[in-house]
Amino acid sequence: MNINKIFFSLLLIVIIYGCNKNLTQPISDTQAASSVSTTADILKVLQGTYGIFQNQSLYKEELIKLILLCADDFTSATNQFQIYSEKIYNSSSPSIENAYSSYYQIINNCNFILSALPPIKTTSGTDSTLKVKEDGETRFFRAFSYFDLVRLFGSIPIRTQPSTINTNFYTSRSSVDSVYALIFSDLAIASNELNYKSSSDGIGLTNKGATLSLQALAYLTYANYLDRIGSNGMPYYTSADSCAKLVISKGGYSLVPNYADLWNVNNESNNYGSEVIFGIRFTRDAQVASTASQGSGYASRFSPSTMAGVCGNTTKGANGLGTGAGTYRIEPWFYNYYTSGDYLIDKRATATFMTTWRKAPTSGSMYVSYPNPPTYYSTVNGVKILIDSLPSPEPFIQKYQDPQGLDAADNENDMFIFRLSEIYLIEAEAENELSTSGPPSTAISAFNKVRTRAGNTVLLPTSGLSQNTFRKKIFDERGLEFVGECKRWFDLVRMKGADSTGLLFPTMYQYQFNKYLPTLPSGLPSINLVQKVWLTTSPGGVTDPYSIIPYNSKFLLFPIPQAEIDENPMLLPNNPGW
Amino acid sequence: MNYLQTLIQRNFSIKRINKKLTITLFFALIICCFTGINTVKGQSVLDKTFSLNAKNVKFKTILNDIQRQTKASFSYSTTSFDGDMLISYSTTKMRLADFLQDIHKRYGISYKMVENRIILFKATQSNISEEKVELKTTQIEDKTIKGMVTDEKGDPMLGVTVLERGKNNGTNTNEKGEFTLKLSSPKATLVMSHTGYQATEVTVVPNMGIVKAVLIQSVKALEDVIVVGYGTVKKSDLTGSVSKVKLENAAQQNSSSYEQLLQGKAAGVNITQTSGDPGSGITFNIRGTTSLGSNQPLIVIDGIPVESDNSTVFAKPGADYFTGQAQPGNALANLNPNEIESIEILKDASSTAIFGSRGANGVVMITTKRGKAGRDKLSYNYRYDASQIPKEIPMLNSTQFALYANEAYYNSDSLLGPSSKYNLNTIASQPNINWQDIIFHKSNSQDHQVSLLGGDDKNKYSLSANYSTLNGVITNTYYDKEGISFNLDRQSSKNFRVGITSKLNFSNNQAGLQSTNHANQGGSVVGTALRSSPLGNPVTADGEINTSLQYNPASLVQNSTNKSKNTMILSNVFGEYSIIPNELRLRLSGSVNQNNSQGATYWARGTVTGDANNGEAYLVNNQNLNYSTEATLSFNKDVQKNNRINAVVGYTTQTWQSNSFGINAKGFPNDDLGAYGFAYATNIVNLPKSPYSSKYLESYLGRINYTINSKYLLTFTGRADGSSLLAQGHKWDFFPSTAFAWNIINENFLKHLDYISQAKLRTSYGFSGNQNIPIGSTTSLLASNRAGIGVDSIVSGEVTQNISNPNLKWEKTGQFDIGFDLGFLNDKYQLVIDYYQKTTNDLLIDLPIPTDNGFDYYATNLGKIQNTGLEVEASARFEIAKKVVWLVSGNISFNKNKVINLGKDGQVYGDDLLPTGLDQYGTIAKPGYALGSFYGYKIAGIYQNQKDVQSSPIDNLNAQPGDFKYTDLNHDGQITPDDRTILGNPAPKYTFGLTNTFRYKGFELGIFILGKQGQSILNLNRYFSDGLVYSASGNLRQEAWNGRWHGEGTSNYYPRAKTTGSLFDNRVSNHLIEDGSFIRLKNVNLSYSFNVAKIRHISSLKLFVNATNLFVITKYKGFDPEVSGFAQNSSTGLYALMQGIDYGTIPQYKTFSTGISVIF
Repeated sequence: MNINKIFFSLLLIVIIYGCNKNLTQPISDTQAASSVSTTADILKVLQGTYGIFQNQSLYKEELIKLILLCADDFTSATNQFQIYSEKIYNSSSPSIENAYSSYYQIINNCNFILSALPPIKTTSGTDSTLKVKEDGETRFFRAFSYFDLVRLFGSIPIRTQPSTINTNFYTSRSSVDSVYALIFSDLAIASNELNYKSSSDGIGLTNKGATLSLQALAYLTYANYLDRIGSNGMPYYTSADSCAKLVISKGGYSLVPNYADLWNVNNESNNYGSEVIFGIRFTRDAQVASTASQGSGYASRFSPSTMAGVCGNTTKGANGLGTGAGTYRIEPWFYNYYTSGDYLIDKRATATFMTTWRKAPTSGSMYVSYPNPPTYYSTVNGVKILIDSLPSPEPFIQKYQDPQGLDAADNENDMFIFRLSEIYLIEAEAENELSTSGPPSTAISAFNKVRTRAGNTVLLPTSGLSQNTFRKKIFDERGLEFVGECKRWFDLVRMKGADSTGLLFPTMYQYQFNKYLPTLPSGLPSINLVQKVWLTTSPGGVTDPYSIIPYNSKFLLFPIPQAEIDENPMLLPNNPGW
Repeated sequence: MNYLQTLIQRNFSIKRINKKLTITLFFALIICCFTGINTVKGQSVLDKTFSLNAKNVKFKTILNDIQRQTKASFSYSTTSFDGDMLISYSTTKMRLADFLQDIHKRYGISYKMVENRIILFKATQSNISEEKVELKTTQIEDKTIKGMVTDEKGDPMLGVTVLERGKNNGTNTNEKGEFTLKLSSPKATLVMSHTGYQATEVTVVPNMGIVKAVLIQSVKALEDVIVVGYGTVKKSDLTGSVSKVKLENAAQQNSSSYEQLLQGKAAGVNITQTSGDPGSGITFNIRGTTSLGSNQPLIVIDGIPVESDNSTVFAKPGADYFTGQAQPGNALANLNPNEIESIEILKDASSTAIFGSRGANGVVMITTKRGKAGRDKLSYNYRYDASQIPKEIPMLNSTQFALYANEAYYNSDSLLGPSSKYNLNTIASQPNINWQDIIFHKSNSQDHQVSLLGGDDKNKYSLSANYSTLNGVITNTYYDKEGISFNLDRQSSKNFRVGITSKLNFSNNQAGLQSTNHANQGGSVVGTALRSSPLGNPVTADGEINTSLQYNPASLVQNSTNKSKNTMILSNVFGEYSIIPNELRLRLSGSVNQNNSQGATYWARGTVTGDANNGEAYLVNNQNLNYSTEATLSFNKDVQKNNRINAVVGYTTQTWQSNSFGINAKGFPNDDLGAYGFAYATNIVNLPKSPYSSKYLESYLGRINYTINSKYLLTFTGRADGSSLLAQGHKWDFFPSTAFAWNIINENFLKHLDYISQAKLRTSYGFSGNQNIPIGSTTSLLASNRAGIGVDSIVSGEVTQNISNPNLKWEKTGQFDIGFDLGFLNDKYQLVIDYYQKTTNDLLIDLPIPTDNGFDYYATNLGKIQNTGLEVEASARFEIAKKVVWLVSGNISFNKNKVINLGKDGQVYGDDLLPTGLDQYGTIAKPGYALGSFYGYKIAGIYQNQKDVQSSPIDNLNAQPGDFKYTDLNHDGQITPDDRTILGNPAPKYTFGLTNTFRYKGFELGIFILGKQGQSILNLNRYFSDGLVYSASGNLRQEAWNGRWHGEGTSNYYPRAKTTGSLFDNRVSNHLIEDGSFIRLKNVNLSYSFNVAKIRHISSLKLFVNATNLFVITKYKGFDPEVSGFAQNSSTGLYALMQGIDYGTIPQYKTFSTGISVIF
């Protein structure tokens, strides 16, 4: 046999080998969804779904950007953040789109779990308990997402089935009522399926206390909405009240005695054992850095850029100094408001606002902000320290600092969603709304619990307050209790507005921007370097003129993102004014 | 600044010393190999022995005797010596070699081996004329005719076959171009032919003296053999639309890839260089874009389908962030253009249908040089290039910049009172840096090519090696490549033929960081240089790179790296067995194509990314293996006179496997180790990924050509393809085509029209497909998503990743083509015209859907795109003066691309343009418009005064005089997203190329002009350089500054300077869309071929000078109107929607080259 024949035969073998294949699915490195078949598999998806809340587009940054800066207490001078504080955003603004689609990503994953769970055969008693629990937790996350969506965008598409090729991809928006109906039904099922917190629970996934808290706030918000459009909200105030009462009586939570301890990053996990009912967890992530990490970015965003060691120690982190970014700044008027009147003595103001800081925690120059006089400090701990740059006209927030952080976007600080103090205030508010003759004493006492914890001695009298006055007191109390916790925007557009004269406004948002804030001197405090004093009337003022712009009803809801409308014109018309 | 350049050059030269050493060693090795081969070859004949006992015998009789004994074949011309001289010679068992040495000593007769023939000639080459005179007188007595054949330049031609027509009588010319032939009849016609030349006939009679014939290089295309899928056909028998391009003089032209040489050379082929950086990606488009994804044609090298498009083997775009950092794909950048013999571009369905599911975007058939029987030919080419940037963009100097800042502050801070940023009195003492001078420099490059080709009746081989070191005009960038290739063909026996093709290419590339990656505009060298303030200092006082200057471009070019190392292996073995000689042939072949690459990217301190992260690096390894097997049976038979059947059937399989591994970290202790210091990085930014994927394609194919009476040609082609990518039940599809051609020239009514040499009408219709969808689209998948749960713990959860589509099927393109080939005066003038209409149905796309579905897209078949076009190729040959030949060839192609429909949703959008600011799409696929049309707002002008603001449609509530005023297209009184419209088309209306060649004696002048007209470019550099928002943009273009609004009536185009607000209001508008039409003097080439007749051992010597990109005529405001054709890193895979966007592209260089080309 000659060599060519051998060669030729070899080639022939190669060809035949080539044929010996079938055209099945190619190998890939990802797992098929059809492999989800046990409660352990479901748990993985549930955890992955919870992870979406921690993504950059939601609680890590972009959602925060919207709801923090659109309110009246914060301002920003940072590019891409200003558009929200100055309200020049539009339907193409990226954070709006990102938040919107991320919530639906969570919803679709919840729908996937809810359709994958029923066929799963449990193998033991604990397994079937786990199956029930997973159903409850999934429904909580779905309700949570729809609740945020309906508050941000009003009527929105409802999806209750996981998307497949047979899904109708183009639907119109469902009414606000039907969104709330879905939220309430999910939460009702979830609170039946879940148990109150126990010490064996991991922190992050939810429980019955969290579910009832979400129910309380959702009932309250829906009742406000019905009030505003002239319907009867009363039954929902009642439900809100009873849910809040259940959390308080059965949830097993207690107020942390010292408000400032809530913000000690090293004590964070312990707070979940006492006051914190539910929060979006963030963990310093040594494996993955920056925006993709599982750490948060609040420490950098809330702290001034002249302060080092707030989001990382001096050997790691941004620029090797762990300095803040100074993105979110407190409006001077807000600081003034909560350091006077009822709030002249209040531990929350001292624990929250930062008006004096040192370059690094242990050494370096001193910096101050309004209202501290721009003068030389002679001694700090016996050391003479000079102020080495112009002071900031806006104070900062010191709730989020993490000197052990890994970088500007990899810190331990969580975003608390429900704390017991809010449940007290929900109870107070619901009962106030239910009673036309002024708040009942139970409402006042719930309210005073929050003040007492703050060391504020100005307690409200158990009788004699009008409904309007108490409503404003609750709004104000929430303003300080939750500053920097992303509550104020929703309060502004949710609560009825009123001033001392009894004049009613449909929302606090309208009252603040149309009535109250215009009475304040416009402009940031300006400095007189000769006399070393801040000037808060012309020249100067106490509101950032760019961010305190006149009331416009279109801002009550965010626009449905343009990219969605481009894909699906059935989403039109957009929200009023957009 | 000079300090910096010195610094840069110092580093540079150290690197080069090592390289030079490598080059030298490399070539020494190659030449040794070649010399060795040369010695071995030919010995077999010369070692043969013979015996003689001759006394006073004619010398030619002795030679005949030896010839009979040794089977050696002798040639000699009577011009060199007299074969009739009588000699005596006796010997036994003498080696032929010894005999030849002996007669050299005795009679001064030397020899040369040419194509197995021993050619004898007088060693003393002194006196030709004397011999000629002698010849004239000695010719009378017999029928011997003598002559000389030269080419157009007058150079003698060796090895021309001279035949007496109708007789079995012929000879070859010697190295002086001379021949002697004994005619069999007194009057005869001699036919002189040589490959690549037109055969010439001369009628001769004995005694007519020396016959002089000139062979003209073949322009007659009809005899050309055209390579088509799975076979070859004669041009005259071709029914499809195929452009053939010969890559002549590749070594002379400054081009690092074959695509550059192809640019503008064939009608219907639109090639855009994505950047001037050597080795960078190229987009290749044949007859318009048919698909929303990749439109890269199928590339077939010597019959091996190779991967030309990295995306086809990568994991799903977007799912793997590392692919976004890989080098833009030009898997074939390593291929050495000098090895290419010719390129055929298959355009119509009749030609491409045999490639079935892969032919929709056209097929490029590359044939590399193979050995020919004959003398071993050693050639060496050398080229030296000096390159520079064609122009700089005028930006503000430091004084202007300070004025700009001050004006911006003055305009913006009205609430707090005017303020200024810079003290103009001290600005003169501040730095004044033109950053373009820092990043660009003049560079030089070298290219060496060695090749050895040869063979005999049974063995033919070619060996070639190349080394080139190309330096970029961006400081510290280079592209070095080396390659070796070896081809061997062996005719083992009468019926067996085997062969091997083998190529090994390496490259080592340090590219300038640039943004063909659209997600990273800030990391682009060019973009950053344009944006940096002239007041920054690139280096510190002690000469180090100033890393404290944020975003220092000097740090980007000096301390950052963007390296890639690539290895390409392309190998094929085949065997052919002739079952019936000349009629039925079985061919089996197996091929392997492996592309391995390593990409290493490092952003040092001083760059945007590096500053934020203390250095950040990516390291990515990709291994792409693709192997295929092929079995074809071809049949070729003349049925009757002038009726022929030519058919092929075959079976092929192809398998792709792709592995990659990528890691991304930040927090490096220093910049010294760059991307190789992962061990010291403090943070892994993204967890390492190691995707693996594979796919498989199986096909049956067949084609039959039937030629009736040499007039009517019919072709039927079909291919059935099955792919693992598609859904069950849709895996297989069939792609048929049919074509008809009418060779009118062979009709009797044309026969008498001598001036028409070619006339053929062709028409075809058929289908081809596209399987370019991501692996795994037919299954629902889960992706990993981490979550922080519990106390300080992070768990790895999962989320749903896609909507599976179990109905996915092939994307299909139907194409109609009608064409006409004409040739006049023996093809001196030629014209080819083609009209086509291509309709693509069931587009395979990742269709964006509303995100309330939980996903923003899903893979589906949807919609219809149409391309209609006209192509004209023409060439002519003129003799404009005595001995001056002018060859002109040109082509022009018109293509109109239109989206017909895209399902009920109607439109698809491109990717977001920039990660922040302009984070929105600016391109669209919309029925009625071209694919990837630019989409956005129309600017009506600038608000001139407060009244103008108030009377205009409501827009930004803070708008002031000097801001952009937009057009309210829907007349609803306000500016909303509904006011967006189509702003331009990224595809040219027509493209053309024009080649002029002038020849005079040894001189040749080539001028090549290239043009594209009617396309628009979205110039994203101007988003920063023309936006006039001081805080957001950085430095400004002088034109924008000079043209800015600074008071009523001062400008209606550029806005006012300000410090707040967004650049261009964060809107894509017509302001950023520019006319990208251009005409480019692509190449001017002057060469001189020396007359080497008297130089021993050298058969050709040529010197050349060459200029590339001498100038370009364009209105485009950026560096270069040839910008990244398709952003190759589109995260959604909608590549065709990302055309014509300038992300800070490195412009094409202006290059002057010189070099030498020698053939031994």
